[in-house]
Amino acid sequence: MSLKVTLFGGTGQGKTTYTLGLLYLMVEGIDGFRIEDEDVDTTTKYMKPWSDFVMVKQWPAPTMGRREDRFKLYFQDQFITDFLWVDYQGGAINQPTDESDAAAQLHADIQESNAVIVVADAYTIATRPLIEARMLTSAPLIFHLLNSYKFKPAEEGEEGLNNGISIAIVLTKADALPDEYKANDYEKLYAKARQVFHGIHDFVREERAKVSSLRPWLYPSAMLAVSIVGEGNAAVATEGEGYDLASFRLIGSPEPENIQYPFLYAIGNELDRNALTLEEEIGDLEQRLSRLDSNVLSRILRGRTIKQLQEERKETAARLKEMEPKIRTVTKTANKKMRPLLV
Amino acid sequence: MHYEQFLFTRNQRQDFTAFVRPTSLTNKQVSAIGGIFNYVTDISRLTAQFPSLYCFPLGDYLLLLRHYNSGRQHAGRAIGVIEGIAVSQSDATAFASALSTFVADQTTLLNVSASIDDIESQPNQPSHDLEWRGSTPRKPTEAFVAEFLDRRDQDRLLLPFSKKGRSLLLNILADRRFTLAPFFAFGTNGDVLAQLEQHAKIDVAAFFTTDRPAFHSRATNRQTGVIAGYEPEAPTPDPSMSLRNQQIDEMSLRARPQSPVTSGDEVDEADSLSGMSLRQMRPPQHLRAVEPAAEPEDDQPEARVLTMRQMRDRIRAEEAALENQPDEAEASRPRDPIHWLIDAIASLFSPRQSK
Repeated sequence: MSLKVTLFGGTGQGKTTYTLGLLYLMVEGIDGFRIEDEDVDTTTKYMKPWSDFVMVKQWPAPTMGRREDRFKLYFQDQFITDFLWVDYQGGAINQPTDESDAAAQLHADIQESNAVIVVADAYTIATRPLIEARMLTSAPLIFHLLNSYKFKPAEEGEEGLNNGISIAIVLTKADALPDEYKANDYEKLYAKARQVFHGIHDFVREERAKVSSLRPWLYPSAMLAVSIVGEGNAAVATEGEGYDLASFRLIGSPEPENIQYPFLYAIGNELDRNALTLEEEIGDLEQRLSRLDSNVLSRILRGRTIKQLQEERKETAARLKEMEPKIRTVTKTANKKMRPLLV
Repeated sequence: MHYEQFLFTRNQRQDFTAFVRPTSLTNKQVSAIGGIFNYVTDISRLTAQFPSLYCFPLGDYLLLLRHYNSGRQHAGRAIGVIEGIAVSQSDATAFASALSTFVADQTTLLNVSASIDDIESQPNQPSHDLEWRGSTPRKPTEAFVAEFLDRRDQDRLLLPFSKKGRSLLLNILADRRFTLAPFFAFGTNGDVLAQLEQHAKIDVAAFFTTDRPAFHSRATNRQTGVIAGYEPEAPTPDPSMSLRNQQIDEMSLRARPQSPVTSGDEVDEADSLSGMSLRQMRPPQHLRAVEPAAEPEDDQPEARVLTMRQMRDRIRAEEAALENQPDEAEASRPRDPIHWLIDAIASLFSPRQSK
């Protein structure tokens, strides 16, 4: 089982720095979790700009395209899952697919992704008027992309499970927020983030209000305020205006805060989705076995005996049982830190 | 020689964008260039006067470009510029003979940005078709160039990223024995080179860490010979390497976090845990530590983030509760015998309601 996690968001929102910080933390291990790269050079490549960031206090160069790397996630040295990490430049979301290959690739990646991590600048969300914050974080385009490829009912005959997606919104630069936005565990920030990402928020709300044929639990979504540099280690250099985003000066050594949780949330929920699929398979088999008479059953079984079917069910149940501790391991850690998009 | 120009950079609104592009350069190829230069993580040392210089083929074109720090910033980060010329592969011979002039005079001939008034309002546009009518002066042949020509199939020439290194590169490019342009990456790193090698064999490279001109095996990257008469130079260090001192390497950059303590509260799942072990030698007791310690749940249950199955179960429970709830209107209706009789008669004539 391999999961695909795509990280994207508007330009200048902090995707590159977030990725570097996350890789730095996860390679060494945090909360018992650790990742290993499939290609041994991957970590080295990511660690170079992170090292420059820490030592020279220089923000990493903007991403110019798409990067794709394979990793394995471990908890206390035990394998949890493989995953493919796809990282995008911000511009990919703002360009039509016929004008940009990166944009076309992003659309394809979203379709194929199990989970997305949307990166948005908390400082912009907090300090800009709502409509500007929406534009600068590319929130409408993010919703448009998810809506086009993921927020659709399953085609006829499809189970529909694969049409769901886990959405983790990472609110970066939280350390620089005005105090009022930090108060009560970032209550005001989360409230405004819900307004900024109202497209996704409303989709989730409507789904949960049961006005659609889609099953609402297939679209778990949550957010978290994070800081890559840590409290007090960056100062506002210039305030943003128009298209110019605020810029920051690094004044202390970076101490990442909370950055692993959105990633673990995305992974944990997708493991849970797999378990959900297995549960439904088991439920479906049981239902058929109990409801149908033997003639109909034999037609449906297509030559398989009831014994074989029961063995199949047992095997699926065993796989599910095997997965459960892994799922709880990841979700217990991540979900208690994340904040729901919908309250 | 006909050529086109290109300018890839970003402004405050748009990320990496082809503001000027050769007419036949596809979106995929623009993305490929972005992908290649993504691996240059520090552009602070690259200036318009002394930029990185590259020559390699891509699609229908031979590209000659320079990469440097524009001095502009976005959200506090340096913005790079990739600009240069593209010549059709069918003009490869003319390109080879003009190459040294373009490199020597890169500050004007490759300076596409100079033709842009304001990058913030610059639309994306195709390049004009331009014609080069200049001539390239002959240079006296250098001995090392003949050796390079002999070894070129097996070895790559590494040069320092310095004025002396660039002068050696110009000597190679001006040598008329090259009927086709050698491909080069002057001022680069191993990651970028690996990306470029997916498009062509690069003959000359100048890493930021190269200290002297030398031949290196293409296969093993081992040094196979040096160019006589050149003393090692102090290389322009790669910040990420030069600043990493021994002391930092010896200690962990971050205190290793304590693993959560085994809770031991899920004894009934010992069997299921055994299934997840990929390292069969681990004792079962250790395996039980796979789950983090149980911690108190969030103070505000409504603020908790649920997993998909938890959410499904909660929604289904809510639905079931709603279905089982007696109809409020019905419950509040008076139950005297007259009303009961009216209801009973009405139910005989009204259609059956399904729940």
